[in-house]
Order: sequence, then structure tokens, then C-alpha cells
Amino acid sequence: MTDSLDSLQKDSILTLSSGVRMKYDEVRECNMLLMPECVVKLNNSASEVLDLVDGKRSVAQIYAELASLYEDETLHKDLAEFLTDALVRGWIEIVQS
Amino acid sequence: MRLSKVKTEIKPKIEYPYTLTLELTHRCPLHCLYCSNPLELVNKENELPPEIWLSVIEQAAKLGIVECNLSGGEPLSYKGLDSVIEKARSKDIFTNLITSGVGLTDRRVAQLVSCGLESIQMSLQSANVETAQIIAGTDLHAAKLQALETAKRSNLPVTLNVVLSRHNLDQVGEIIELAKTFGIRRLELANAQYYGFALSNINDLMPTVEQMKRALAVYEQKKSQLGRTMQISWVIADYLEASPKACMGGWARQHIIITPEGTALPCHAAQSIKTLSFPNIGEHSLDFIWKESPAFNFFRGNEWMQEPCRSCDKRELDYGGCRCQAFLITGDASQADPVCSLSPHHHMVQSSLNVSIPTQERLYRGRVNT
Repeated sequence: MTDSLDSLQKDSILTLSSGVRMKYDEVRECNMLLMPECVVKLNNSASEVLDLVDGKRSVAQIYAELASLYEDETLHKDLAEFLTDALVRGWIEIVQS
Repeated sequence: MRLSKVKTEIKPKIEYPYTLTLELTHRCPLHCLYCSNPLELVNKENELPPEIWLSVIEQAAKLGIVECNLSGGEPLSYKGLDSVIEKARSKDIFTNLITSGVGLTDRRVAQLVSCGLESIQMSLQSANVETAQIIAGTDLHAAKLQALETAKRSNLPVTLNVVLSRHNLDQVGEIIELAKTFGIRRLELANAQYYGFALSNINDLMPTVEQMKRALAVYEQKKSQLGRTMQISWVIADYLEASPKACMGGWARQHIIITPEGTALPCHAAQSIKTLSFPNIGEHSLDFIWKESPAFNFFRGNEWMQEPCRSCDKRELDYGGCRCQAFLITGDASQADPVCSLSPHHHMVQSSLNVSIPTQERLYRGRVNT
């Protein structure tokens, strides 16, 4: 897991990992991340970020979009932490160019 | 938005179940020493027809189920598998096939994918044919390696599951290497647990503490080498831990398992608790079973607990451990899981660890022993 921080560059394009999908769950009224042998219930912030993880946007673009919507001085750090964590857990992966 | 609050909850304690496991059939080409199916297997004549499963899936979706495991026995030998997968996908439920791999061909995978299959979990017994035969009681190792190739070609995410015991713990390094050659992204190394059939073979399966430690060291070294290229998990052996695990994430909190004849269970081994009777989906709705049935409600909350659990500050973390293990060892399913060092029955677990001589008798699953 040591390479995760280094591998997450500004221009890294992110996508949901193969076999991972997000769905809106009408019973729980929230987004959920479904993947082999694991279910993750997402809060609003997490699903908002993961909505932008679409195989087209880079880390910098995801940040810019969120920054245009929310004024939050810790946004950059929090986003990096969340994406790194999601990468380590295998929810998302970097698109290899 | 406070992104600092971006935290995701993994399977929290809520009133909706997440995962439905359908044991479509108990028929299986393997005869594993640690088979997780109930002690009494369901015959083919008593298996439910597909239309009942389709109704179960309809009900499950309304109840909040988001993942469905198609399991067995060997689910590939169940005739209605395709329609069950199709139905689950039509309800936007994530579908996962839990298979031995025997019977998995390119053509069959393609059919299942067209029905909506999203992932495969395949079992492997060993890195070599000899040990695989000792564990599975049959010579299907080569067929399973072929199935792994097939699964790889399908481009579905494949989880490889290997149950660890005395027989294969020394091969952990080879098993990880083998998984690598098949491009496996998720590998589960699950130490055998002794709830059901495995208890019959406990003396044959139980490793020594030293053997376990050696294997764990190999695992940790390999895991750090592999980084993100493979997710490897190590499921601990209850008997070697000082505190119990939150079995199934708590009794009837997340999962529903249904046997081939329609008996609904909160965990695979629940039928080993002889003092409970479990509801059948032929007689009750899934909604009733989950919310109202006495068996599913029996160990919810903590009112049922005895000491040392009742006053323990970990009772909301481990829920007193495994109910089946408590019953099998103490005869009372509401006792603390005896793997807990605080349990008055803990010495009974300890004494099985001292058995270091492999038994000559092995009980193979689903066939007359020779």
C-alpha cells in the first residue's frame, strides 16, 4: 500500500474500479457502492466526489469542480485523503494512459 | 461541504439486510473436509424450483438487499441459475457466483454474463494436486486451474478463496504466487472455522500455533511486496485469537442465507444451533422472516447476553462472538463465544489447540467414507 500517495498525481485520471458500481438505493435513500463481497453506504459528500470519478476527469479537475461549489480551506487535503483511501480500498483506480 | 466529514460507513448496524446468499443446491463435485454447508444436506428432489427463487429476489429487493451470492454446493449444476441471475440484475442487485469452477467454460461464463453476472468467487484448495486431493477428496485440481483461466478470460472480477488448514498453511507463499499468475485481484486466505462439518475433522485440520505464525509472516511479507496489484485478506482462525470476532457482523444484521429447500438463516452454520427452529420461505414472506421471525430476532440487541458478555464493554463491537460456536462447545447458544479469553469455557478451545497429531480418519463431505 506504500505506493498510493506517490501514484496519485494531479493529472491522474480516476475511474471506479472494474467490478465496482454505484447505485441509488431507494430503501435506504442514499447512494451505495457495490463491489465483490463488499457494500459501502455513502454519505452525500462521498457520493458527490465519486460522481466525478468517471474515467474522464483528472484529480485536478475533480478538485476544481468541488472548489467552485464549496469554499472550504481543508478541501484539498480532505479530497486527497479520501481519494487515497478509496484507491487503497480498491474502490477506484487510475486510468492507465 | 465539509469534506473532512467524508467518511463512509461500511455495513453499519441498521435494519436493512445487505446481502442475500442463495444456496441453490447442495450438490457439489468436491467433498471438502471443511465444507460450510449445513450438516444435513438437502437432496436434489427437495431443491426449490427457479420460480420460488425469483419471488424471493423480488421480496429481497424491497427489503434492501443490494448484493446476491449465487452459491451452493455448486451453483453451476442448478438448472435455473440463469433466470435467477437475470432476475437479480433486473432488480439492480449486484450478482456474485460462488463456485468451485468445475463446469465453468467460456461458453457458460458468456451466458451468465449476458444474464447479468458481475463477479465470480472461486475456491482453490491448494497450490498442488496432492494436497488438493487430500482436502477436496477428489482429483479436480487441474479442472479448477482451467476454470481459473476461463474466469480470467471473462474479464469479470475474480476473487480467489482459499480455506487454510494444517494441510496447506505451509503453501501460503505458493498460493499467492499462483494467484498472481492468474491475474487475481482479490485473494481471500480464510483460516478454517470449526462450526459445522469442519468440526468433524478438527483434529485433521487444526494447525499448530507455530505453523500459523510462519504462514502469517509469509502472508505479511508478500502482501507488502504486492501493494495494490492484489488485495489479499487474511481471515483469522477463531481458535487462535484472544477475543471473538463480530460473527456475520452480528446476528441477523446484514445477511440472509437460504438453503436449497428454502430455510432462511442468519448465517451458514446457524442450523447447528439445535434449540432454534428456522423459518422457511415457503411458509413466510422474507419481510416477516427478517423483521418478525423468532429465530432472526433471538440474538439481536444484547438482552439475551449472559456474563461475561452482558457487562463487557466490547459487547457492541463483537456481539459476544459466534452463536454457533457457543452452542457447539457449551451446549448453550447464549453463552459467550468460548474463543474469548473471558469465557468460562475458554479452556475447551485451548485444549483442542494441543492436539498436534493428525488423525488418520478423514470425513469427506457428501459421500460414504472409505
